[in-house]
Amino acid sequence: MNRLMAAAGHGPGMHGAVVNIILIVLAVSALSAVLVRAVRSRKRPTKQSEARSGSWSVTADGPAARATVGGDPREKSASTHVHPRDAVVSVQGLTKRYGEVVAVDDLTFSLEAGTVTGFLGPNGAGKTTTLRLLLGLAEPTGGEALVFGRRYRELDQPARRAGAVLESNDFHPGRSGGDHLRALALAAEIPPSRVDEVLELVELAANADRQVKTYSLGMRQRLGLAAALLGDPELLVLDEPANGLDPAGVHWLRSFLRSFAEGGRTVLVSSHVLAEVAQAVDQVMIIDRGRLVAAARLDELTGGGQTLEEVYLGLTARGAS
Amino acid sequence: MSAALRAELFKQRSTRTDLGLFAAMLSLVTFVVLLHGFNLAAGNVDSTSKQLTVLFGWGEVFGALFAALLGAMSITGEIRHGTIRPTFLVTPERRRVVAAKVWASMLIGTGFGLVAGAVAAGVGTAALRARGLDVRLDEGNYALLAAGGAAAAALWAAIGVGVGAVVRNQVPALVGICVWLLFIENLLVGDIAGVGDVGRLLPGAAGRAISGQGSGTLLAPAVGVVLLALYAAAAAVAGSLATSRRDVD
Repeated sequence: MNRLMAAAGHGPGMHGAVVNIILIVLAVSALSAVLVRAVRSRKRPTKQSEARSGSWSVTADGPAARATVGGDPREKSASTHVHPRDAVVSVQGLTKRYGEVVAVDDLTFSLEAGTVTGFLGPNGAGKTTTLRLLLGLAEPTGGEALVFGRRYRELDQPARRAGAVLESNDFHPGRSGGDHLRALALAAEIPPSRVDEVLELVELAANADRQVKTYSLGMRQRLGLAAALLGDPELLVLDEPANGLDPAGVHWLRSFLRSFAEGGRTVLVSSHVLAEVAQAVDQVMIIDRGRLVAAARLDELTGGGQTLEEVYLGLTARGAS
Repeated sequence: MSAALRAELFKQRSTRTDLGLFAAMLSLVTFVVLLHGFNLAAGNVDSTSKQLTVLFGWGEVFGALFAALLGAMSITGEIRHGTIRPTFLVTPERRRVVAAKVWASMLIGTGFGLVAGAVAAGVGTAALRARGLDVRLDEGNYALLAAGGAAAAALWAAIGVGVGAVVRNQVPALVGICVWLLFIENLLVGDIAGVGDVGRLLPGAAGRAISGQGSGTLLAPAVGVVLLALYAAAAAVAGSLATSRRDVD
């Protein structure tokens, strides 16, 4: 009996009870510390969860919602003359269902090199889901999304082909900005000197040794961009990169995207804020409730004297609701 | 050494998480071994087996526990803070990420287990000597405390990675590991009516067996290490499959 209790409770008799009580107290206090930290540092809801709870994209149901520019968006695609195999991004019949909800519905488009494409749509339209499917973070229910003619997961050294920022705060708060980049550089087999380069590029070199929890939102956006640029990629995918940036930050981002594309490189940038996009992109794709409702060069889309905002509101039926 | 493994080891040492876990482990081992060393009645520590099981074995227990927490946090922390997204963008083959986390956690877990076993041996010996009691361990016992503690902690670190990858949510994963190792297993050790002595086949009991505890009630150390390695491999595979198949939010 004594031996059994010793094995079981690691402490026979009274001592075992005392130790067990002490252990319980220690465990409870440690756990409550963890819980308190968890509650305090709970991150704001992700774009995805905001998207699912978004109301007006669901209620908008006017006739204009189903309109497309010039009929079939595939014919009107800004890049119809590019064979999908040569395209930087090629999406065919891409579909993603979450149970009953169709987040992305038979999406088809392709992007050619050297373009900056704005990916527009209301909250919950499926922009973020599309980008996650494109980057291999989620598996499509149907269709395919190719980057440089291959599935993202099948790319050799993907960080050297494509860079992406999907959330503005994907950092460990206790790790320094520089170390965040160093860890990714190690995984991608990118030399450490490149870390210093991208830190200079996004103007964070002076703050590289500080923990990310001390960073402002604008600094976090730039750190995310630095991570995406580590591999000097040909394609940059950004999800709502201007969220929380001040006017100077938005201006900096726009000129950065333009100069990035001038070298023949490609940008796909999602946004639901039109003003920040209109001045930076060549072409836009507008998505609503998972479907592509327009894809055209910016000047074609606004050629009829309408502003981008008017076109967008007409297509996404926000004005009708 | 693979790029993913280098990255994982760098991640582990570029935050204070591991240091905090290490400090907590050291203080708990020291505290609990001192408590037992000075409080247990002389009759409860008058044999090698009793000394190993109720006094010196605490090093292995806390080494394994904290190595498991470290392993679990290596993946639940990334999910919680969102760094899993850039991690998978850079290394889209997720099995490689999980494998790197398993090896990195096992490596650091080995250190945790070695230190915990050694500290328990040192503190326990000092406590018994201070009371004028005989220390009934020979060199082989001491070696097994340290080496067995290291092996158990390394394997438990792999189990932690698997649990973290399957559970994904940090707090339930950590609470689950603590509750399992400190409470549930203790309830199941011994003869259970109708089932027999299955308790010693559980992973926590196997870990204790590796460091030489509970002779007679637990498995032999060599059998324990094989059994715990099987648990660790199963957990790592489960974690790898779960991580590869699920979408990342």
